[in-house]
Amino acid sequence: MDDEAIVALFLQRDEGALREVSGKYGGRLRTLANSILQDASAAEECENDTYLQAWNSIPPHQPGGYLFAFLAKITRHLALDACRRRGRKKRAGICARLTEELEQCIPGPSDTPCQVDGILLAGVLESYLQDLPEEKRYMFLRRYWYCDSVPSVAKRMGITQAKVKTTLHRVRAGLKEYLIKEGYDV
Amino acid sequence: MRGQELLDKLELLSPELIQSAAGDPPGVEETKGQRRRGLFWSFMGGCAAGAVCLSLALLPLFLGQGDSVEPGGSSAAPLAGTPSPSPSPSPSPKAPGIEPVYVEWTQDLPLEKYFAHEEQETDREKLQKLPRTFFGYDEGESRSFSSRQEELEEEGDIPSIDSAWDFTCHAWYDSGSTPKSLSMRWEWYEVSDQIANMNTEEIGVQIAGRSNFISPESYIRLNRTVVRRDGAEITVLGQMDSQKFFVFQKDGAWRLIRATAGVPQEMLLQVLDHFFQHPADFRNFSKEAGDIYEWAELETCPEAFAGYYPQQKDSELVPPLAGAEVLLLNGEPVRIQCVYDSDTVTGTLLQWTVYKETPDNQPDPISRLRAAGDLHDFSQESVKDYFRQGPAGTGRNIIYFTWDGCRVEAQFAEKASPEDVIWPILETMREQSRAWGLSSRWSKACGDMEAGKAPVDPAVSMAVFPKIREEYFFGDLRDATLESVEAYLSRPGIRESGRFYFMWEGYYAYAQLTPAAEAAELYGFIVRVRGD
Repeated sequence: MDDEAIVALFLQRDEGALREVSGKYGGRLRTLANSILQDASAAEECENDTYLQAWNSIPPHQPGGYLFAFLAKITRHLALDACRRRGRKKRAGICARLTEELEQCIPGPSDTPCQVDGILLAGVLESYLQDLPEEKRYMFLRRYWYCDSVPSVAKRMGITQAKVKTTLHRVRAGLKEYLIKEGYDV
Repeated sequence: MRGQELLDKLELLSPELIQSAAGDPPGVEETKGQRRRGLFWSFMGGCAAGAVCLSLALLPLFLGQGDSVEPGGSSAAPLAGTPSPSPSPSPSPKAPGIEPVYVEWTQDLPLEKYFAHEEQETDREKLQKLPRTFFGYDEGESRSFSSRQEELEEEGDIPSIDSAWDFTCHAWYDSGSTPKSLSMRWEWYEVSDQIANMNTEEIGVQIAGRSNFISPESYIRLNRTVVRRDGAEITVLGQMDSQKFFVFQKDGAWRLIRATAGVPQEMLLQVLDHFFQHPADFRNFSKEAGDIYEWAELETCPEAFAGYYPQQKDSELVPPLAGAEVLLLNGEPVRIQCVYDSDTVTGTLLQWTVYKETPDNQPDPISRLRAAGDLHDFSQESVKDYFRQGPAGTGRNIIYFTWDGCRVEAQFAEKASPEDVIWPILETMREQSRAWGLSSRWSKACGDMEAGKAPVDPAVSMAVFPKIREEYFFGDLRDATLESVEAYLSRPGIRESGRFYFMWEGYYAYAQLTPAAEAAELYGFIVRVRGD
């Protein structure tokens, strides 16, 4: 079933929508959650919460052309939240590692309080990513949006982990310069 | 703004961008075979490719043709040592609207002529359409021949290329000892202080009698220019100012040559000419002759790099290991990658990687640019300076250095202070290293004692040790007298500690001490160590 039809089921409040969406995207959403949580049962829980949240969000949202992105965004948010709730437990590690890596993109001292307008920042990020070569953009998104591990990105792209690490390092460095250029030097 | 905030803000990216990374990598028409290759290379980790940071988006392998030869193809004898080629499918028709232009090869045909008919825009599109595989990756077992560049040059299997270009070479096997495919790669990089702008160039060659995955048809179908040479057809793709591909079948094997835009023309022509004229002898790449790289968990080889990576017992600043993997070259450790549990001890060490360099196992070229020198020469001030003066864009929290012939990359938390965290950990490791240097001599001494080559002292025996304990520290053995030893043994808790900590020849060391040890016995030990 295509995304438009699934969204139509949501809009009609037909619970078949959940079955369809689970069949079509469940595996990928679970994988995304598991990448962040490193815990299969928690990932499953996160996947179910995603369906619930999607059920409560459609309508008013009608993500016909981008259903997976819509669901994945919910999953990622839930998983990152769950990850942080674990606080100092070991399994919060991926969150901490990604945070540490992204600190390198941030101009200025990282402890400076700064209220950055999320929408504006997203626009700048988007613009930077759009200008990247496709392969680098893909790598960045897999690592920081889908929270894939470095070995997993390497596996997915058929390249070495070293290349992934190096490329990400450069993309982060480039992003930092870009943010400075765009006035985010706080 | 913090990293966490940025991580969260990524959520606001457009759905289109998010979906663009939801599936396969760009341009990939992934097959099961490619997935397995990916798995293989994940298994191999970073061991492939000398300059590991280089852009490796290389291309595929080809089908063999047996006796069936394409129009213009060679019907010469099969490649030496090559497995019997499998029948080839008939050539695919060209893509609609693409009519090849035939160019006759001459001895002095300049590179421009190869690409004279390629059209910038349409060719870019064509390149986008190519199945994206990564040159040098195949299925099955692999062996490395990267360390045999000279031999291979002497055998005529590869051309002689300027040594400034890093060479790597891998062979893949099915069941037999003769490879089914070979890949060679020369890579060059120029590291500047703006690492984001690092220049890299590469030229790669893939040779195979047959292919498990990508057909050269992919290229032939898209080509515009075909250079006819000695009865063979060299299909060309690319532009002068962009990447370039040459595909041809000769002597029973397919060859693909790919070069990035900046590869010097004469070098590219040299490589093309060499591989046109010299069939690589697959018998020179037998499985038994190649090097084996494999990853192992640290638990399976606990002695690997012992003492060369921080552990929690070394310092309270070091988090517990969350995982460690060891890369083995023919069973010998050549790299260890340690990841630390940064949630247990926060704000300190995140990752620590040690390399014993080989052509297939090298740290990022950035590590040379940013190398802080040798650990043994570090001081607190030099470490502070290193982090204060780091070139733009290299990350504030990674330090690269050499240590006992190895290269180390240590990544600390962004907030880790050079004075309070980084230097103390590095210093601990250095002192321990010095101790290890001594301990190996002690071990030899112990071995000598056990072998009857040296007198055995019943009261004192030497042991390997990790670090000094201040409160039990005796001082330098050179200054020891019977009186100072008596005074030492009379200190509270010394005998119970079972350890005699001292300094000798600039190293910290300890010996095991029995509770009943007499001052004279201990002094006798000291005299023997000093060689009085």
